[in-house]
This record gives sequence, C-alpha cells and structure tokens, in this order.
Amino acid sequence: MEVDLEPVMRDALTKGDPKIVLSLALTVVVMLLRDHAFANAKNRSLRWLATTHWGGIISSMIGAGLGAVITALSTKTRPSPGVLLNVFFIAAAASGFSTWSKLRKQAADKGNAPWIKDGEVGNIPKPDEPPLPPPPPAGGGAGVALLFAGALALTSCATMKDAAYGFKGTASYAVMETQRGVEEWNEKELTRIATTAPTRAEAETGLKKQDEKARAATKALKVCAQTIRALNDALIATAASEKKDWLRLMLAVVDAFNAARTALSTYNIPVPLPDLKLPGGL
Amino acid sequence: MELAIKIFNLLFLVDEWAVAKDEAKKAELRAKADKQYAELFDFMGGADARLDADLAAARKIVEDRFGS
Repeated sequence: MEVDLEPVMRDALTKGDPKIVLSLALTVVVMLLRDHAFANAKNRSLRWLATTHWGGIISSMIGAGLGAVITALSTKTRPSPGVLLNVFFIAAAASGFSTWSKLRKQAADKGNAPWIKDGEVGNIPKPDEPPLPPPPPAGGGAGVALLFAGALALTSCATMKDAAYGFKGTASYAVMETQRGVEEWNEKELTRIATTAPTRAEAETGLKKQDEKARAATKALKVCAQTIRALNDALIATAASEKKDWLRLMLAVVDAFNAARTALSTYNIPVPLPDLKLPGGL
Repeated sequence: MELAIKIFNLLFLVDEWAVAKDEAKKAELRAKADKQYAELFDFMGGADARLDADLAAARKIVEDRFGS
C-alpha cells in the first residue's frame, strides 16, 4: 500500500481536531483507571495492565485507540493514517508520563529523590503500603518511539523538511561549539585549581569536582548529539521512503533506535530492547 | 550578549533554510549540514580523551608543586 506521508503528517499535526481531544481524554481516563481501579482488581489481566510497563503501554494505546474507534463508528469512516499516528503519539506520551510518575514515586519512597530534602514527605518510610512493581522498563521504548515518530513527522512535512536539514546542521554546530567551550573552560579551571590550591588535598578535591562538572556537561551534550542523530535518521528515512529504498529505511529506523539506546545508556537507564546493530549501518 | 548573538545567528540560519527555494542553494546548504553533522560526531568521539588529558596535565602541575 502506497501512503503519501505528507498529508498524513499534516493530518496528524492538525490542531484542535475533536478526534485528538477525544483520544486524549480517553487516554487520561484509562490511565486513571489503571492507577486506581486496575491496580487493586482481582482479575489477573487487569492487574497485569496496572503493574507492568507493557501493560501501561497497552492501556494507553487502548485509551488513545478508543478515541479513533469511536470517531470512526460515529462518522462511519475508516480512521485516517493521521488519526492512527496521533494514537501512537498520545499513547507514547501517556506511557512516558506514567513511567516518569512511577519512577518518581519509587524514588520518593526510597527517600533518595534528589529533589526531596530531609524531613519532607518523600523521606518518610511507608511500610504499610504494598511494594510498587519494579520500574517499568519500556520507558526507553516509548521514548525511542516518540523521538523517532516526532522527528519523522517533522521531516515528512515538505515545508519543514528543509528547516529540519538546517536544524541538523546548525544544531550540530551549536553542540560542537558548546562542547568546545566546556573544554576550554575546564582546562582553564583545572590549571587555576592546580596552580593556586594551597594544599595537595585541596588541589585533588578541586580537580575532581571540576572534572565531574565538565563530564556532566559533556554527557548532556552527548545526549544532544544522539538526538540530532535520530533527526538525521528521520531525514534519511523520509528520503528512503520517497525513493522506495526499504533497506535504507529499515537501517535508518534501526540507527534511530541505537541513537536512543546510546542516549539513555549515557545516564545508565536500561533499555529493554535488543541491540539492533547491523553490519555496515549508516 | 555573545550568547544572544549566537542564538540569533542560529535562528537566522534555520530561517534561511526554511525560505531557501533555490534547489542549488538547498543542495549547498544540505552539504554544509552534512559536514557539520560529521564534524560533531568526530569531535564528540574524542571528548572523553581530551578531558582525561586535561585532568592528567593538571595533576602533573599538582605533582610538580607538591611532589609525588
């Protein structure tokens, strides 16, 4: 089946569409049910939906998909590819949000959330509460999907494709220049600390702290670079689909997954997806 | 101020892309974007090694000052 992506993406990006509003509302309802009613249900399937991450993804898909189905039934028309794409976007966003809120709650319960100071609610142990399920693993998967789908949506609109190419170049330049700035600043600071610290111990501590700062900034910039890589993959995928070069399209998708995997692993976030590295690659 | 100028330049470049209608100009800008993209990954690939080298150089200064 040949699908012209541009009108699909335009359809998906249409603002104020009642189908999107309905899908969003139903997703919120299903996710609320999941957090409250499903989690305490006796039915194993419902509990699975509430306590596992894939359950979260599926329930968000059900919520978003219901909007498309109801609209299709009421108008007696098949959901357009744009509507289906929106279902995907909404489900990925809902799933990502659900993951984030669960991880935040777990961190707060453990009392090690960096944003919670001693004495605040998050640090109080709650032994009576049932333990939360393990951190849902598909946050990475949802992130990958959202990242690639978003970049693909942007690059598939002809009016945005050129701007996306421009963004790829200018963002690459900006990230590289920022990294250069970080390294220049780091070198200057390291030299200053090494030459002015009054004792050896103070010098060592100062150097370690400065090095940690520079490495944290570098990590963040590496993640930015991986995001640009995913954008580049989306541009390649768009060009490949126009030329019907399906192998190149597949390689672009695989490379986008690897970009997201690399970005997440920079912060030691496990990605429960197989390593899709192919020989050659892009 | 310097940062504001940089941001303005970036916006200007993106805008230049969005309005470029001439195919030859577009091809030229695409080649430039590809070059900048390749340079970014070359540069970022060596970032950790450069940070290591800077730290080692600073530690050498400390050793020279306080003895090993």
